[in-house]
Amino acid sequence: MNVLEFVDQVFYGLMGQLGRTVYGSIQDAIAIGIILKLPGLIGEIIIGKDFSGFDICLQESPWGVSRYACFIIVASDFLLWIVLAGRIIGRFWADLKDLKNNP
Amino acid sequence: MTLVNRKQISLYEEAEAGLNSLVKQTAQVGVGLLGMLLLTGGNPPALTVGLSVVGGIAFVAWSEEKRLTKFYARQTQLIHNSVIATETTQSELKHHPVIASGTKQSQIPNTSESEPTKFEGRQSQLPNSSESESLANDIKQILEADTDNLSELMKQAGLNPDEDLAGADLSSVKAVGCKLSRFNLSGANLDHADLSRADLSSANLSNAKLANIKLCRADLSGANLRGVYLIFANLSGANLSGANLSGVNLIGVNLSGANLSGANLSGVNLIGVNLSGANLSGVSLSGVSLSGVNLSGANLSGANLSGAKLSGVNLSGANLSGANLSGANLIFANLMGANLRGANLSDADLWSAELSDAELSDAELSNANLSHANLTATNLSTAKVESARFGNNAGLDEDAKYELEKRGAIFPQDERIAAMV
Repeated sequence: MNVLEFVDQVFYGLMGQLGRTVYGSIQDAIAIGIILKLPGLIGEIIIGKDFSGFDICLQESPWGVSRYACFIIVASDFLLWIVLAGRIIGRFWADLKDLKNNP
Repeated sequence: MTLVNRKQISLYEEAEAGLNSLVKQTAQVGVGLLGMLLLTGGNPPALTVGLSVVGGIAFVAWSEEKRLTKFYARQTQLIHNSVIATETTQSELKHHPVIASGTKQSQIPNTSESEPTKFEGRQSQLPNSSESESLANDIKQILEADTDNLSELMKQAGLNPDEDLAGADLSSVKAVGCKLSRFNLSGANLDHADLSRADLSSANLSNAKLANIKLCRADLSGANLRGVYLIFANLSGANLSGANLSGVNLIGVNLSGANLSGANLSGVNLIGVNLSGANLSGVSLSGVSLSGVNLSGANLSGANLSGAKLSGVNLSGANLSGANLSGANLIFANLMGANLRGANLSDADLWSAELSDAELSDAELSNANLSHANLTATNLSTAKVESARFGNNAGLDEDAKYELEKRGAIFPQDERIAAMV
């Protein structure tokens, strides 16, 4: 049994069929965190600034790298939650459709 | 890779497909956000940001739902009766990594089985050159098929799941999570196969060879398993509700946590079976030998176990409420903490049984033999003990003995005198 099978069994034991959906969402969160959040955090550490909104980006010099890094980091934060929320909704939507078709 | 229905692919492939779609969706929404930033000059108003977020979530949800429910649609239609025709094509197919998720070891049905299959019937019908040509095309398409899905490959091969897998050699095949509902696999050889989480509901597996098969959490509800050879199989967490298991040899099978409610278990051989935590409510195991079976924590409420041989069986924590255990042999059985509320134990032999912490209220114990049984903290308050034989019981004080004797219980002469005093 590989790690995926083992974790799947653990989630199944904890919450039955719902475990598959939760497991998939956790996988998404880990993947998206590595793809989007981690580079943003590293960028913030390198630049030494905290970017929390698009308005802050416009306060940076248009000739400096911080302005563009800020846009990327803020957009990544939005992207993270958009994709994560969308995929969770999509997963439940698919499950509900499946439940409707195969009660 | 092809994105197929997630229920039909392995966990690894599912994770891989999920990551691919995640990157794709992130890129698509990212491009949308970039466009929004460019249009608003890098300073979008709150409403625009809000609308972008809602729109992005809706798009990702739609895209994900579509991916998960999508079945791969075949572009080409193959001629149904032109696939398995000659010996050469059969050998080509055997070398193709057909069936199932995550493996390249599978085999197409083997016609060397003793039971004749539908393939053999077709061979004699199709040996001309034009069909061989179309066959070559079909083989090419199967070899180039961009799916590992059994159902899809069967469609490609023009096989009919209702009849063509009967008697097939599918030993060691890996079909994790495959949808095989209503498939006819009667007489098929599935030894050492991995069909965990597969949907085999209402499938016909009668007389199939299933030794050492992995069917963890598989859906076998309503499946016909009559006469299967199922020894040392792993069916933990499987759904066998309403399945026909009559006459099945289940030696060494792991059925922990399985749902067997309403299953037909007549004439079944359960030696060494692990049924811990299994749901056996309402099943009939009348007269069946359950020696060496682990039934700890099992749900046997309302089950018919009359005359069953349960000597030495581990029934600790089992739910036997309302079960019929009349005339059952429960010598040395472990019933610690078991719920026997309202159970019928008349004429049962509970000699040296472990009944500590067991719930026996409203149980029928008339003519039962409870001598040498451990009755520490056992609730016998409303149990019917008329003509039940007690004696040398641990956990019974003088008052309890006196009370039981008053209700018609029989104690050995020496203990009875002590109780009366």
